[in-house]
Amino acid sequence: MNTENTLPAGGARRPEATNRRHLPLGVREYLWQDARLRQQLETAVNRTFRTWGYNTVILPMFEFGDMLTTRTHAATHDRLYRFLDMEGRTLILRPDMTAAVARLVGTRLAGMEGPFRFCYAGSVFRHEETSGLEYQQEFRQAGIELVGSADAMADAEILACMAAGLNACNLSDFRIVVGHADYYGGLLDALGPQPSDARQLRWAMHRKSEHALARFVESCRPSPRQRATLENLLTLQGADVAGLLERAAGFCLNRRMESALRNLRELTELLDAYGILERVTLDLAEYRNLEYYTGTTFEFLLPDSAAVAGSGGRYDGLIGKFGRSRPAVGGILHLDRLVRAVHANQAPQALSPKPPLCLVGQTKSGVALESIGKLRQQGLDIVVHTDPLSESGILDMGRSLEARVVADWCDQTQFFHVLACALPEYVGPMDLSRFEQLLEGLQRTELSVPEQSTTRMAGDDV
Amino acid sequence: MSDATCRRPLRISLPKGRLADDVARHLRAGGLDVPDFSASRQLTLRTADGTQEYIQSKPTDVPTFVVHGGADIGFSGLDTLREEGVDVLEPFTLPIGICRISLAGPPAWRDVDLHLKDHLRVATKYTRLASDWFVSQGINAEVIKLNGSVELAPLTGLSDLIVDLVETGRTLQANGLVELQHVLDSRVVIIVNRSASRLRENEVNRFLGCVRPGSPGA
Repeated sequence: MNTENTLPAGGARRPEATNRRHLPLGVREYLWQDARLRQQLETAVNRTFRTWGYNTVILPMFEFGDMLTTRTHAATHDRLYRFLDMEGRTLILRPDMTAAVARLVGTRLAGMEGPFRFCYAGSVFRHEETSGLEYQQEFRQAGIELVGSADAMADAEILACMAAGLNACNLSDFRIVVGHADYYGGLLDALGPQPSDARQLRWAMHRKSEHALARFVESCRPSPRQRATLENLLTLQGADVAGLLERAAGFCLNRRMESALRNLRELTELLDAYGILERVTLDLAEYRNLEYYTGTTFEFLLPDSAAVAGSGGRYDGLIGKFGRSRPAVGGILHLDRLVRAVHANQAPQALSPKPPLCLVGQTKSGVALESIGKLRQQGLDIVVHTDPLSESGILDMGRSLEARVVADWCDQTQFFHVLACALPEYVGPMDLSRFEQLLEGLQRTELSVPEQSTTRMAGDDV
Repeated sequence: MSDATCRRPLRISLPKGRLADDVARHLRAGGLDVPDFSASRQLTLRTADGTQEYIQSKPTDVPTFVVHGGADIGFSGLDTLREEGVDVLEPFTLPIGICRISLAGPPAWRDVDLHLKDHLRVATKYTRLASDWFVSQGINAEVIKLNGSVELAPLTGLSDLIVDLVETGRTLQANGLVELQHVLDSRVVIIVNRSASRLRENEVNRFLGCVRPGSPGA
């Protein structure tokens, strides 16, 4: 190798990175209240998923590239993070969880009868195109997959379960946009256009551009019936679900389009039964990754947020690419975007660590540490300072941490000496059992500075 | 209905400058109560009934406001929209602000096959639009960013050619340049934020109905 022309790692084009706070674009770092909030949201969502019978599955962070890319990510393969293992084989950081679940079910679970319900939470990695909206490379997702049912009941369950997940986060003001891969797919069958033409049609659908659609119609010389379907395509969207389905029926060009509408009609009846039909916007000109989705597709939107909060759909063809074929449907929520949605409903908040219930000055006494250990087992949070401090020093520390109780252990008397307390009458020395009672009592009454954190959520056990 | 849950009026982003008067005239012809920004120093103005809020910004910022949801609807030139490359809905165009983006240069370039040139230098303020177009044409070109007076570039030897907006062609002529090829036919396009089109469906549709060319009043 000609080392003269080889740049040192990181390249010589940029100045040495002197700013150590600098992170790569598109990753997230959360502190204190923010970290707690995201964890609470994740817990709330996952707890909801589990109450619907979904079992947690833990999936690998990276897999063999040829396993995933050729089977599932042909369309997005240029957006994957790739690297090599010791033997030179390509590995990819998981770009989504669904493919991994499909591989797992298609291979290891091939011998078992379904259905399977899986839920998961974790990060996925993609170079996201900079559509001007947001640059993200690490996405934290919580998702569910229902494998083994082709019935619309399964699609409805996924939507209702995700809706319940959002409700558990107090984000109940969502909208669900539902489309169907077979309506567009059937239209393409009927037109039989060249691939380049299809791209133009997809562009028109994606941008809802009447101008681009008119140009496509001119170029593909449709029959009068096809023309009517195309010219009305962009109007087949809205919240009037029943009316839309009726109108769309008049524009079907083949069985595939008809079956898409039949499927959607069934689905909307079920969503009505689940009580979420009023949240649904139907869009038959919705175009999403056709290599992946074979039936219903959907997106969740939250008010005042331009980025989608969640998405998913039916992917009956995917598992068969790995092994025994089965129908499946699933969806994910973007936890980072849920964090932003919660923040959008609040005034900005200064970040600080959570105040402990009690701060104890440095002690190496086994008696004291055992007593503190017992209290911690009951869920009380107690910080033992690790370095020696004077009495005034530990008081200052307690104030800055906003601890409700500040105490020192006295080895001679075997007493805790309470130096400061939210209930001032308790300041003074006390034995182990009184100290324990005090802390338990304080925890129960929550006499403290009220916690600045957000609204309590269903899964608030963090 | 979803629209009821939104806390602020429908926000519309208007461009300052060249397109401002034409757009405002078109909206008023559609029966919309567009406030007069020249009479105020405020950057946001509400309609008398409080249902709409208009903001005025640099034309290149209109797509940015709309894609991020800072505004629900915006009016932009197709040239600006393609240059900004943002992911928004663009339901229809309006017959105003009509112009074209062209490749231009000294007359001697008329006879040159650009595909055969090895190192073509092109000055423009539309760097993304120009690069995309050269790629689509299979022409290798180095695009140089200028923020104005682009015609100066070939005159000073900064570049061989330019990609620029042409309305009448008089500026080109005055500087001894000629149009070589059409890059884009531009006009005003109405753009809509993707989420707003779902979350404020009724308001957005009502507004689009007033602005659509050929609708009563417009």
